[in-house]
This record gives sequence, structure tokens and C-alpha cells, in this order.
Amino acid sequence: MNRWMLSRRLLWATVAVAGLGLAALAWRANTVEARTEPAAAPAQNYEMFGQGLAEATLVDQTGAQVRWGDLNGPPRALFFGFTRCPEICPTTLADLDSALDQIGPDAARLRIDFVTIDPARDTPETLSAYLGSFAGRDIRGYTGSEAQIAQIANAYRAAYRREELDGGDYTMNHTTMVYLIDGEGRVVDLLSYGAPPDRVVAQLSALLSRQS
Amino acid sequence: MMGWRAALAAVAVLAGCSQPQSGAPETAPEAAVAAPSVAVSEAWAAATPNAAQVAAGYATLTNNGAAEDRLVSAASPRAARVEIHEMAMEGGMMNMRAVPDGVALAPGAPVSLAPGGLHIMFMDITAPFVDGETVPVTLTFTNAPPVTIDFPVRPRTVGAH
Repeated sequence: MNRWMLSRRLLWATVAVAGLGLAALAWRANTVEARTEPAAAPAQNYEMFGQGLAEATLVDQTGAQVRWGDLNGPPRALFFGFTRCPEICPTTLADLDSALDQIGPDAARLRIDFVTIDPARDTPETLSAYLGSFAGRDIRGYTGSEAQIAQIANAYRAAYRREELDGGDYTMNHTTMVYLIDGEGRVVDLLSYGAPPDRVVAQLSALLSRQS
Repeated sequence: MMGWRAALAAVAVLAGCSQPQSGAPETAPEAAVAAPSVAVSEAWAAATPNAAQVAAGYATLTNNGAAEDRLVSAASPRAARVEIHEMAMEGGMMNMRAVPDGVALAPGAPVSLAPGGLHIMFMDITAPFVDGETVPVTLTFTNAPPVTIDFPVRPRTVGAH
């Protein structure tokens, strides 16, 4: 059992590393190609991400049940995080917010989907209050049972693990990628944590160009 | 990870710009006596989203004493608990852990608590940290007397000017 868990984690870690490598390649490709031919996808294949989730369900920040397959439509930036996250999650959200500011009105078509990997503490109310900071953005939070969250995260090869702290508290370790998803639910690019702002703007702009 | 390094460098530059005088004397005559003391510079805390229950603070610590010292704890009236944490990217996963033994401070060698590495973790904060305000923090050391300093709160976003 343990060995299976371990090997699964190893697999995730390997996939995550591979993903980061792909993301790095995608950056290069984007800096060169984004302006000339945004619709020409980089050769990287992200098909492995997010498969088989059409019927999966979660609960959004209003408390409504949502079907994962029904989230398709707008271009999206999908992120796995939690609200008691000191650095990665607020930085990722702030970076996305500021990149979208730079893109201008067209950025309004993009939706940010924030899936908690700490559903025990991130209730719809918590998510709603937290994400309410990003006024004017179409940003949605999703929670659910441990099993529902695991199903979504596993499909995107997002890994997370509870880390115990003193006094019965805990924090969550997690992968930090942002998945850029087209209107049909396909992952077409990845944002890496800490990427330079102009690169993030270029990647988001390329995603938005695909839609029009 | 070039992007990450660049972001860190940008943070370092920003921090450096805002406080050009870090107050870390090299070997001034009076420092030769070297009573235990730790200088705290470039302190800041990141503005939090609404309803956030945690926050992070950063600073550079310089041990001006003659002997090794150690940051052992931190406290603030703005948080139920304050811990020292360290994060590290390992295999694509950002891992965070408490640093129960604190942070070693060798004499004369500045130690940065900065995004992506060590940070002061404020847990169960009394209210969100808002850009422009300050958050008082008391840092406790093994040898040096404790230091209480106001951490200015700044937005977290790097770059985007």
C-alpha cells in the first residue's frame, strides 16, 4: 500500500518535472512565435492533462454543484492551491491578476479557476471571501470531498501532500503549475511559478488569441 | 529555473532600492567589541487577499556579534502564532516546513528571509495585511537581545510596474 502510494508520488513528481521542462520549452517557443502565429500550438502535447473528467463534480464558491465538463467555454487558467497558503497561491493569483491588467479589456474573457487541495478548511464561504479580493475578475473557487478533489487533481497530475505543523495545524505542499485551457477544455500551455511577467503576458495573450 | 531566479533577483533589487542603507556595518571600530546584536533590515510583509488567515514576512538578518547566533522565534500582536518556515521547490512540488530549530546566523554574514526560501509565517492573523500599513514583529535570538520592528506591508506582485 505504502509502496504504491510512494510510487504514485514518484510518478507525479516525474510528471511534474517533465511538465516543467515542457513549460520551459513552451516559453521559448512562445517568445518567438507568439506574435507571428499564436494559433500554431507548440509541439508539446498536453493531452494527458484533465482527461476523463466530463462527469466529475465539485462545489463552487457559491455552494452550487458543478460538473467539470460544464466549465468549458471561456479560455481558462486553472490552478490548484489553498487559502491558508502563505506565498505560492497569493503570488500566483497576484501575478495572474497583474498580467491580465496588462493585457487589457480582452483579458475579461479569461476565467481563473481555483481548485482547493485543502477542502477540509476551504469551504465555499472561505473561497468566496478569499477570491473576492480580485474584484472585477472572473475568478471561481471549487471545493468538494477529498475524493472529488483527488479525482480532478490526479487527472491534471497535480500533486499535493499534507505537512503537519506544531499544535495540530498543518499546511499543504503542492505543485505550482497553472494550466492554460482552451474553450473546449484542452490544456494548451502551462505557466510556471515565478515566470517573468512579460512571459506570463505572452502566454496568456496566446491563449486568448486562440479563441478569437 | 531561470524565471524563478529572475523573480527572486527582482525582489532583491526592489528590497534593496527601497532601503539603500541596510545598516549592516562591516567592521566599524565600535563593532569590534561585538556584543551580541542582530540587525534587521529590508523587512516587509506581503499584503494578503481578503479573508486570508495566514501571511508571510521577509527580512535580512545580520549578526553583528562575535559569536554565532540564532533566530529562534518570532511573535506579533497581529497573529495568533508566528513560526519560521522554509519552502523549497522539489521535483516540481513546492514544499513548506517549519524550522523548529530556528535559523543559524553566522557573525557578519547576512541571512535573507525572502520569497522562495525562509519566511516568517503569520498564522491566524487578526485581520488581512493591507498595503501601506505596518505589522509589528518581535524577533527573538539565542544571544542577541530581541528586536521589535515594524514590517511595512507591500503588494506581492513582482515586476509589473
